[in-house]
Amino acid sequence: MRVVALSAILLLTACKDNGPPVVDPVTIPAPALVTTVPIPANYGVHDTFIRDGLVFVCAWNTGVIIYDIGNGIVGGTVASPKEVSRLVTANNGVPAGAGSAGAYVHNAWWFHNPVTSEKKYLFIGQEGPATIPTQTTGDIHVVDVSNLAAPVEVAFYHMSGTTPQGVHNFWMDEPAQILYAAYYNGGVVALNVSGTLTGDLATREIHRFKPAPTTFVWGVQLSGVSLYATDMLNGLSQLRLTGGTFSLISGGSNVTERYSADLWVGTSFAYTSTWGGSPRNGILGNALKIWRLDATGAPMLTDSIVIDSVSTVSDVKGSTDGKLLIASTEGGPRGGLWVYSLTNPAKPTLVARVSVQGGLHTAKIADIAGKRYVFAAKNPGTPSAPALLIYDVTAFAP
Amino acid sequence: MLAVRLFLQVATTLSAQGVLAGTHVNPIPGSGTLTELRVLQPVLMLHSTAVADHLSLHATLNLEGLTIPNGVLTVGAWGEGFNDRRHPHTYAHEVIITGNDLLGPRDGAINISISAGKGFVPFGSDDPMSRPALAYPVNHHWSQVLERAVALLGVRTGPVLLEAALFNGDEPERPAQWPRVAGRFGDSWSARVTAFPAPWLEIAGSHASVNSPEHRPGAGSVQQKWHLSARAERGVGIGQGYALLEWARTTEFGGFFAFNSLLGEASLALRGSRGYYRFERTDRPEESRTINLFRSLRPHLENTILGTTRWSVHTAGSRVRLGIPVPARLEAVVEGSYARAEGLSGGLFQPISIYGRDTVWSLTLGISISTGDKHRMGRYGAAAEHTH
Repeated sequence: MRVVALSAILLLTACKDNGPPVVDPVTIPAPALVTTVPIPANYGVHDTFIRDGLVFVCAWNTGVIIYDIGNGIVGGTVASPKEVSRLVTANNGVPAGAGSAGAYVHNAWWFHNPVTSEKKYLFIGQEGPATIPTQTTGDIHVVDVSNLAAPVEVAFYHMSGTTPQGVHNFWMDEPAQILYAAYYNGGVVALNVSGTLTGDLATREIHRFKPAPTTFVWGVQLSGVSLYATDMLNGLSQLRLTGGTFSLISGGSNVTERYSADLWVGTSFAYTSTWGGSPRNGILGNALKIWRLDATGAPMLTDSIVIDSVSTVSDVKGSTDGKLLIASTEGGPRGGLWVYSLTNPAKPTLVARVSVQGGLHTAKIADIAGKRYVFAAKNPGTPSAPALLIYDVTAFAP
Repeated sequence: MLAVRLFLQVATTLSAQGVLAGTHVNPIPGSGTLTELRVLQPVLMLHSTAVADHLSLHATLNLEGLTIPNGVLTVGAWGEGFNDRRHPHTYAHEVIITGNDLLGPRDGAINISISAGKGFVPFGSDDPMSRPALAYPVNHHWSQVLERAVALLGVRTGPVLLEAALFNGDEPERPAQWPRVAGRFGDSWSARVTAFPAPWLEIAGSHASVNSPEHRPGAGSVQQKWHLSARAERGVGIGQGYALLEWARTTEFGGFFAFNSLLGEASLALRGSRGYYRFERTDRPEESRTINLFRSLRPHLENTILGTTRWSVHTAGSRVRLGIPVPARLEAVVEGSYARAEGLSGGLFQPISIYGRDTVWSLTLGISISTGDKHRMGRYGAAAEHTH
């Protein structure tokens, strides 16, 4: 009898607080999932870089994994990616401790040098341990991929300073042979990556710049002569590198209610995402910001899309023709992929959406063989494993 | 024949406990208040000995996975993906088989024991469940390592006890989960030395190297943990007194992250009632939270924290035995906590931004029911020889 009474109490007092399932007011179609590529749960996949029929999967301590998705080198396709090779980059540049240092491969950029016609270097961002927004770690690692089947690390860049500063996302001015890197609390750095790269690239530093005295730069993108930077603490800034020196042209202090994250800059509009690992002023990072760029490229915030039931809008990326915008989300039941039409770039229209258990950490959009795909980094979850998800979004282009 | 029968005789003790408790916390993450009624610490314990005490079994079934699947409101609590709620423990809290005093009289007064199973590793202090306060301290993950697959050697000689263990570093992810033995067992170790200068006093120091505790596949960092404590339990006048003073420190990445804790607690039991007080000052790592602010992302994606919060928490309470004629011990419980949270080192996480202010208090009223004599969890073989 006592056991029965105890069971009743257990049932009465056990409470689930996950809330009701989220229901869309209208039916939004889901993009077709082309394939799922499992990634070792060594923290999983963080980002991808797609070019020339290859996808470079940044898989943390598993390293960078190169897949053929149509390049032809090993006969892979988008529907059936085939691994070409993988490399675990060096673990220097991050604090060690007994057995703790790792490659922490976070992001990549495959440099196609139009000056030399070489496709020799793959730049890799290492995201080390960090305390946001005061201390970050991680270097830029340079990998020679002349032989894609046997990549070799050849150089690195470590941002010097009294406070640890670690790298995040990249953009390149390939004709100028300049690598731009967001460096979190270190601001932005420009590196001269012309010629042969070997060893320590400290002397290749052109200039480093903080858009604000206290800064935490997430991402950068070059558009025309302007370099746009998203600062988690201060919003979107327009910078310019002139004569080897950065200057702030406009922007900054323009998103203060949320923490800013990724960016995508089109012809006359820009889009930024927001991060909500911790609420700012009680507000989650569940917004997609829409910016109009004036004739000088100065950003002016014009609108926002708030996505409920997520804590973070992680990546935001546009298609090369400027017709589609995608956003990845995480930290809630609506974590997943959001696809918007940019028929009216001032008012993106949701045309497809899919929820993914565990959410998506990043997403990139690429055109391959006449079709448009999204390459998404699926977070590890319970019980599902981390994976590269490939969606076909061709049907949603206006 | 009689000797053989005695040798094979099995002695078993059973005990059980549970607390029906209503807890009010002000404020909770996101501000506001919350009151919840839960059954806390529902456990069934078994301790068996055989072969003239040379073989023993310590087993504890913990049913928190049923009663608090989403944790219990606890000021400053964190760990296993929970924040400001203490997580439920696994159903198999402790299942340890011990070969005790293996050499018998051949090694004189030395007691050498070997234990194996799932349970506590020899590090830090006692499980908070077996201590006076109902609410777990903030330092639970700095001062105990438990629910691991562990192989343990104990050596007791005179007033000194040495314990050393190998175990799996990964902590549980859910109540029904077992430790990951394949590929993880033996990736972590700990050692504890305890001195008994008086029958009522223990002074202990321990160290543990715990590999990737928060990432089961093993991609996380190694935690280096240190712990010092003094524990006293003795008669005080007509009552029974207890006191614990402990210091703990955990570092990761060669000190890139460092978390400290200092805790002191005392209680006095008198005529069926017990009053107690605890103070701790403990550093808490702040992790990215989900849309449910009581939860953090699990599994981890990276090695980033949003800052460190130092929690200074006063907890006081009383348990009063109720004179209701039932075949169990019934106690009324009243307990309150008051905490101040201070953001350290300029991290993004600042208490005021998530709680609306930097002080948090809680009040708990409950009824505790228990029966039988509980064994001291986490003390096996040579260590179980000297328990209070």
